[in-house]
Amino acid sequence: MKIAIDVMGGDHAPKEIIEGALMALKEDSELELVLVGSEDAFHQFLPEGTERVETVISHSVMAMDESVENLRKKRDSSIYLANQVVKEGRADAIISCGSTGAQLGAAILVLGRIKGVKRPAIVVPFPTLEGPRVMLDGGANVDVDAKLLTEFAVLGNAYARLISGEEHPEVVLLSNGTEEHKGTAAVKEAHQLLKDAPMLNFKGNIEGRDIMKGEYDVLVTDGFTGNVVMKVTEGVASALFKLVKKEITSTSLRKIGAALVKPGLKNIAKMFDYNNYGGTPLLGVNGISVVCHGSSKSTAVKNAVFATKKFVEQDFIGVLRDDIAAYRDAQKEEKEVSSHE
Amino acid sequence: MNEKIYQVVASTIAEVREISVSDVAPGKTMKDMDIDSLDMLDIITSLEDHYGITVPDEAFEGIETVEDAVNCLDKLVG
Repeated sequence: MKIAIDVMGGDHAPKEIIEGALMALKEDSELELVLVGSEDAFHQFLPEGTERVETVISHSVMAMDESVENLRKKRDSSIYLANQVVKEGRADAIISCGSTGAQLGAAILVLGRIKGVKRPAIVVPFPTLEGPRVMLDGGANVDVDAKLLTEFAVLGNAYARLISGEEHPEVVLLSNGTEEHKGTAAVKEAHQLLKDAPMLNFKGNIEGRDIMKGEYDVLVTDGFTGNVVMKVTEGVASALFKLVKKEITSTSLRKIGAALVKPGLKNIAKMFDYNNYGGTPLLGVNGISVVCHGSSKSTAVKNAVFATKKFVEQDFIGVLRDDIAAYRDAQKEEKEVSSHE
Repeated sequence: MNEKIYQVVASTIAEVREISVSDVAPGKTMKDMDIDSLDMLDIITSLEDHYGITVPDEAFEGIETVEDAVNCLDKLVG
């Protein structure tokens, strides 16, 4: 198995990315990597003669805040070339901690979309009381219609099946009420479409306050809402930890108590630590392209390598392709039946 | 409008959006055909590869309709 890593993407690139790659190599003696980055990065951080590593030299980087349209002029960028390595069959998957927009754009340009996928989506592992759950779209598609929300549900359903082993994951739709007549026009129509989709185990709408309960496997929403939910949750969690820390260390007596609750608090903090999730794949592009948090350090990169390896072993793209094809066939049949009636 | 270039543009749009070529028309805006910025990037990059040209940023940003895209390419390929 060979995995391509864009070593130039991310807040701590290239040092931490290369270190994470080396950690993964050390833990897995069969793993091979294709590292894509600048000559300078390899010169500084990659020990000479490292075995099971091929390097590809890139000449530019897509910055975190750079418009995705610049990919046209940056076909020598690390993210573009890493996708090309996969397209040419020289690696089985790509990992990047760089701009998600650039990664999505490069994947669409170089690898293309899975047939039948209108818009690829970003899947987010969401921490809940019942453990991490799948939420999509995390920000790729701001304006969506009901059909697109249903497509996200099909993609998320396939992903949840692979990561949880659950044969019929429970799918829910985010709305401003559990009743099916609530929500935007797109949400209301999507509710009906999801209810009628035979391949989905649709459990109805949930409200924002129920997201953290985690009584579902897949949470479907548009990219705008998904991104806001994700960022608000990160912000609230961070603020809460700061408040708790401030309060439990404000007096000498409380400090004694703080020492007792510290291990428990650390476990909760782990739930919200992206380093433990190891990256998530773009859903709908025609190749395995794993997105990591922009602030990823070496441990997160190492975990991403092992998560990616699993996606390759599970034939992730094949599963997605089959599910999307089955969904489109069902739609076609439904259309034919209603045209005969 | 250059008919030959139009045929290439129409089939590229149809391929990217998975729609029929007959659903593409010169007067249609990209928005009419539900083409977002990533689709646009995909379409223009494919056309750049096809003709071996680079569409300048100003021209890229000015494309609103299918005809705009055809005229832009016509000037560059010309």
